[in-house]
Amino acid sequence: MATIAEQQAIGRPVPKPDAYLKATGTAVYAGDIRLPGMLEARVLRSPHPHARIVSIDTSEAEKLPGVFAVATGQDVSPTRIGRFLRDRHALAQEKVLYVGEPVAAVAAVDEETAERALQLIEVEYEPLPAVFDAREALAEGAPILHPDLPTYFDTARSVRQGNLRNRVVHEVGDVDAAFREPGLVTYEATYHTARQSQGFTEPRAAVAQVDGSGKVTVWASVKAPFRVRVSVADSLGVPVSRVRLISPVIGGDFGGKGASFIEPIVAVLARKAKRPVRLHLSRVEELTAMTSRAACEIRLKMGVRPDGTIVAMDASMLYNVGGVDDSQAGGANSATSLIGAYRIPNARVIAESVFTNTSPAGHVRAPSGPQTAFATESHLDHLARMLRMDPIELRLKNALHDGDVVPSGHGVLQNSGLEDCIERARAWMRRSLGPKRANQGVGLALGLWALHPNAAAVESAATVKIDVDGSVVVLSGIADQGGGQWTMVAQVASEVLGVPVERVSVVAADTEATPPEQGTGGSQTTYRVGNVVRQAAEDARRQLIRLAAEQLKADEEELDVADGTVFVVADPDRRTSVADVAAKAGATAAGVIIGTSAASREREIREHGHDQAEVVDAPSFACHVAQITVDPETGQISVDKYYTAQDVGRALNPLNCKGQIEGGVVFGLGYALTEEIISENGTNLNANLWEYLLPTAPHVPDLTVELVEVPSTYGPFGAKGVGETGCIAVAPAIANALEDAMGIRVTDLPLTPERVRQALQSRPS
Amino acid sequence: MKAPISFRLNSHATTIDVEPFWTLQRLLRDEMDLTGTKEGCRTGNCGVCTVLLDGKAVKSCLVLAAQVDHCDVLTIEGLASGDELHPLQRAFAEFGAIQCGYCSPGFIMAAHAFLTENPRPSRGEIADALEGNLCRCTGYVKIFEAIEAAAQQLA
Repeated sequence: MATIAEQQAIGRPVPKPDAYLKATGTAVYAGDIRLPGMLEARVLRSPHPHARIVSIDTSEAEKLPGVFAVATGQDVSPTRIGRFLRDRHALAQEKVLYVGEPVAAVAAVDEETAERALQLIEVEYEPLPAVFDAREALAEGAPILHPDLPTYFDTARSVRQGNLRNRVVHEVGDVDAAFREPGLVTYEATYHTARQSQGFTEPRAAVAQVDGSGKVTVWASVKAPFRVRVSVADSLGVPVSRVRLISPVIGGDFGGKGASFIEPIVAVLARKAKRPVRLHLSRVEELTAMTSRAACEIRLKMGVRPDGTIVAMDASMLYNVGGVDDSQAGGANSATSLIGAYRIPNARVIAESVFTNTSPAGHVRAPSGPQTAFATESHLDHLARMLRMDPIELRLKNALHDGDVVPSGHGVLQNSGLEDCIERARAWMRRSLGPKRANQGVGLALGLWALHPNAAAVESAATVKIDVDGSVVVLSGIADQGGGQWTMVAQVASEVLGVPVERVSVVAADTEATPPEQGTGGSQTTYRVGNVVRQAAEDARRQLIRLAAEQLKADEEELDVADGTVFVVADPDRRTSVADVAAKAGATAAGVIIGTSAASREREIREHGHDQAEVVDAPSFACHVAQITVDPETGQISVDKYYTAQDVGRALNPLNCKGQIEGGVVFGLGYALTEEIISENGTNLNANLWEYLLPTAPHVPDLTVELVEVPSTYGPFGAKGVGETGCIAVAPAIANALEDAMGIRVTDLPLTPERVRQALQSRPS
Repeated sequence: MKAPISFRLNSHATTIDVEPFWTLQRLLRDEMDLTGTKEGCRTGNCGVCTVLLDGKAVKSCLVLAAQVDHCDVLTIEGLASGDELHPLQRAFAEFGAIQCGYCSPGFIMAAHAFLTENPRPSRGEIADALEGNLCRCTGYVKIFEAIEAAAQQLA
């Protein structure tokens, strides 16, 4: 809008309004909710990786004083639920497929009674042969986890048979012919990555209440309430409109809280007990039975000309997605993200994901990003060494540019900040890295996200009301899991309406009170929700200006709004307040000022005059540099300095942007160095926070984050997504620094002291 | 069998009957509705339940409720003076040290105890002192900055 005067809220480090509630302990998370008569729930979980449930006897548990309800698979509808593939029931029916799968649940007066009741439930299992390794699960004769797999509902209509969850073949050019080119330098390696937990500090929690009419309300730590309510309704066998899902403040998500695991269970218990029911998972349950980033094996072969031109790539990826899958790992996105930020004319990537009797895979910050970046960015660095070429030059030579078709083939790149990020990183290296000391090394890697047309995601809408005192209320379906989504919404509305950001309140993430919304995630929230909020606020602004023009006897074009005042630009003394206009609107035929907007593909095409889907207008690129020192005796890596430049398009809130990236880097350090869910025969052995090692404060290196701003064309005020990119390229940057420091190439994550020491010992002397 | 304990909670004399197996965390959250003290692991590893017991930072999941008899307990709800936020609370909000906020009460309480002992800490000392508190969102950098700013203001 050309008439917006000074930018007031955008581009400023506005503190998050909810931060004050969180700092005083008054923010209410799902697990903090207490309703009159509320019961506590506990879940009985399978001790077997694969077994048939012969019988469940709950009679003794039901008799225990204080127990109000015991639920089993018989209490949930036969309709399967799931995030993409609907492959499970909230409580197991007939079979269990992994250790920790929910089998029964109890609601009782307190948690001790609920736990005692669990011990009184008799479950007879018939153990079945189990398979834990992805390759073994694909072999002939392997036990089949989901005999009815082809009949399951699947949003992506993926290829699936036997234990194969999905198979995608992405192929461009003529790979076999390209590898026959004379003089080509080829390098082949196999990479293994570990399972990573989302590691949010708030274990999942949910509270359910069923009213006298059977209407269900669930408060839950979920970031996609409109999606999760479907799982609740399907489990209860009621229409979605009979379930209201509300996401209060969420204690971290990192991909995990878009899934539905516990919400149907509390709803079933609340219906049965006729009392409100709360379930707060334990950390053991989180690390035993909840989702993690899929472990992956990547075989990668590249052919490069002596001048550094990448000619061909041949790769296969095998993801282990556990007993049920919430990850969609091994989908088309993971295939093309292996190609990364590069122009590779001949490429073949086969991505497969496989069911095994291990804990489920799910979304974890930047799904498939860290696995694929580890392989590709490690590989290129090693190739640069083979060619005796500067690894930066090798990357620049092959990097995607504006106008290139992205690897998926689904759009043309524009607004790339990739080269800016690389040049800033190079400048930092010159400036900040001193002469190399013994056992010290430097590594670089590129990260990327959102190389897809943004219009593909369209489910979003917003309502903006101007209240009689001139304050603004925004209704949005978006959840805030800590990323600052509600602050962004307030800033955008404030900017458009010329009302201070403190005077904007956000009502959010309630499936009945707010408009539909697909959910937080994918670094798409600012782009998508920011745009619909901007449009709804512009709608309200038009109404405001029209009413003010009548009051001031001026033309609408003459007016502007700032600091809660509508005024004639050429004669600012002719003015009225937003409050006055809004208050008078209520007394006139105009009624109240309510702006609305809904994102739709048709609307985008109409407004922008072309099909946005052809354009990748908000690519998120980053360049990461790590300087490490390796202890040659123990193999311990310490990160001395870390740098990243990331293109955020336009930093709507520089404080929040930097916070996202810093958090992403440290998340990536955990993935690179310590984090790994270890299991034996399907049981996760380190399901606690003293053996599953999240990064702590002393692990943080001297960290520098630079924001690069190459605006997107269609994002609100030029913004691009931020959240995922920070964690993607950390592991390869460290692995590349390790090769620089010690001359060893470690291809398995995490880079634990044991693994590094072993590589040092087997180094050819 | 419940038995009574008496202690000072956020500067108020308090008497309440507690079960011998209740933790201080359980007492605060479930019996007294002070839910600013969070629950993340119940094993003393995440620090989101940190409160001050006689001025020392403790993980309330590792302290039995009965142990606080005749003690002084300060939780996040008692840190501000009336409407005036404690400098740590304000700095955490203003410096971006709070994202999801689930770890924030624990961090603020741990930092409060630490700054009382060491009013002018180096960044390394801050990091070491907070090793028992996990944050998954911020990467800790802005938490360090907030504590440094609050330390300056308190000094």
